[in-house]
Amino acid sequence: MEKYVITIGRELGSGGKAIGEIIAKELNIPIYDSYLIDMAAKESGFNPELFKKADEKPGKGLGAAMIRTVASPFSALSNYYDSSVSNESLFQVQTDIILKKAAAESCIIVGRCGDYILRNHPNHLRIFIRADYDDRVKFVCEHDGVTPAKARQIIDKNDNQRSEYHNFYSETNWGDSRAYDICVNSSLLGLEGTAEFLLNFARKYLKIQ
Amino acid sequence: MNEEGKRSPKELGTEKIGTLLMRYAIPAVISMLAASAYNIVDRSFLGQFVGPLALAGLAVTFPIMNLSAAFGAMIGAGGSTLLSIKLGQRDYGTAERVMGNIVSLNVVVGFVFAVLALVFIDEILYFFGASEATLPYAKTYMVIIIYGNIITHLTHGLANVLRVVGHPNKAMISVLFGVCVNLLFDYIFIYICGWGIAGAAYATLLSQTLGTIYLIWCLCNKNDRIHLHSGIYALKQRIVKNILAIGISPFCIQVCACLVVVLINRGLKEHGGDMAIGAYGIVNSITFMFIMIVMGITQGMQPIAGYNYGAQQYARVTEVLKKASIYATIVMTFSFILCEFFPHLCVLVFTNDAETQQLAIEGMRIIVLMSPLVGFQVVVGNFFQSIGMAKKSIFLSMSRQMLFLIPLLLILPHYYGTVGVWASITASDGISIIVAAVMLWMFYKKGAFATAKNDIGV
Repeated sequence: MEKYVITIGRELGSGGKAIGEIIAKELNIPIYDSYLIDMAAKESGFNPELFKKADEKPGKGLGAAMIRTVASPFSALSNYYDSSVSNESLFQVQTDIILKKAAAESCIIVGRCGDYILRNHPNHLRIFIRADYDDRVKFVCEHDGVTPAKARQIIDKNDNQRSEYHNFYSETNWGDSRAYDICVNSSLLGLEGTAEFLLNFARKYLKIQ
Repeated sequence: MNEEGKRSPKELGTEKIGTLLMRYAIPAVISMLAASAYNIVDRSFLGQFVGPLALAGLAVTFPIMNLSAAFGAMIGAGGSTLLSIKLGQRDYGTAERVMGNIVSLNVVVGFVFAVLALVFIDEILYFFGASEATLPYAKTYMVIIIYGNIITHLTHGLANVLRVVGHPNKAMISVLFGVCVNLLFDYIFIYICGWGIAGAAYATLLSQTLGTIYLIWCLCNKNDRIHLHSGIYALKQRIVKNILAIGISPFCIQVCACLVVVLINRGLKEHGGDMAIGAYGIVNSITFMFIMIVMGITQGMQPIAGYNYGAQQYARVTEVLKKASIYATIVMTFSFILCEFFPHLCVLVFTNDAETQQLAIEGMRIIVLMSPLVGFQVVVGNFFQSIGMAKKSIFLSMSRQMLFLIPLLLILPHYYGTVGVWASITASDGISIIVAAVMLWMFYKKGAFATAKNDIGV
């Protein structure tokens, strides 16, 4: 059977990862999420600490570029813009790993601009999962054991980070329906129900037996 | 994408550090030397054949050039980062649009800057330290350069693009070619034709135009997957936004650098007159050369330190830091000896005017007092950058070039005149060296290496 890949973009607290895990289990395929960071770290022999720092934070305010600019007005003469441990090169390592995983086997990729990185994959379903704000707050409270106020703070910050990251590295806007094949609000059917619905959709579209 | 100029990163983790540092630093050092040699010869033509006032006039224009370079750096840093991301993604369509947007942005920004600068040229030059005597020189030079501002932007911007898309050697050729042509035209226009400071401006403009033509020709090569063609130049909001998001920091730093030069120029003008500004132009050229060599060494150090830090080979990280510091110190000690004990030799290249010579010698002798240790400061700053600690690195870079320098420049000249201006630079160097040493000591004391274990767990 032909290999396929499902990428899931998700809001924090929408249960996107949990839904992905249910689908992965049903389809009996691996799912890669923030775990990717560790994987990337191990495979490239790089310090995972560095990856955590760059995790879904875009490479702007790049101090690297700043200093090099002070250093030399003769930009073309220097090695300027490729610092060795920049967010950009970490994104590159992640890209290589996502491409490798998707080429090797059918799998689910959560986050990390997978929708963009795998845009040329012939058998690719792009999902975006969101949820009503109150449900997200509830989810984060239970999950992280924090107060609703704190949860709201976490959610707002995370929304900013994820959209900045996605909009910087890819060519579409995070959460914009045009960037995905199917967008769904997990508040309506719950985790199990949404997973079941998406599973049917995926089976039909990707022709999975 | 052409892999020209890229080496396998594996050797960074295994090859001997000394060998690696040589291999990575020497090309960078040579490039830097070429840039500063050009700078020196260009100014010496003016000083020798036009006179000390022309030198001062040229020095007055530095801040405007800095400001223009700030816009260039903004587009350059943002554009090339974005371009290399898209190339890494093999998203060649978007990469070409980024390239086209870089061209358009340079043209637009270059044009707007030129119009504003031309309208307010007198006010700007007076503010930057021009006097009745130097204004004609500064203005003549600046007006010609500003008319070619778009070309200036394109030549720097495109050389950068060419490097990023995989032709670093061609990019280097274009710059070296520009330098040679510029010097040739300097000779013809200033010495043979006797056009004075206008000749220097025309020489710069003409060489940049030729350089730009060469760059565009290289970038239009249809055999390259990424090349210039119609349909990529329309500004796209996402691309422009992303370019500016990255570019804003280098822009701010450059603007501050401009502010520092303005302060120096104004301080010198007030307390020492036009000749002191001219003298600063000379001293600046000489010290710049040695700092550029150190920059070359740190550029060689960066990939080695960065890779080995990432690969957790901390002994190698320390070794490359030590070696780079030693080399930098040797270079800067040499500059100290040269400027302190043979200052006449250095200054003679630029001018025969006794007053300017004397002022330059006085300034140089003060400025280089700390220089044997400045190399270490620069190396440490870049070291933090190469291991991903950008904030520390920015702080160190700013500490030497503005953080301590600006307040010192605002205070010392009031009490000590020109000597105060020179001493501000020395004092700022001194303080920032101590800061760098303390930060490095703390970095090692905290055992940054020891705690960064291979501890995976999210």
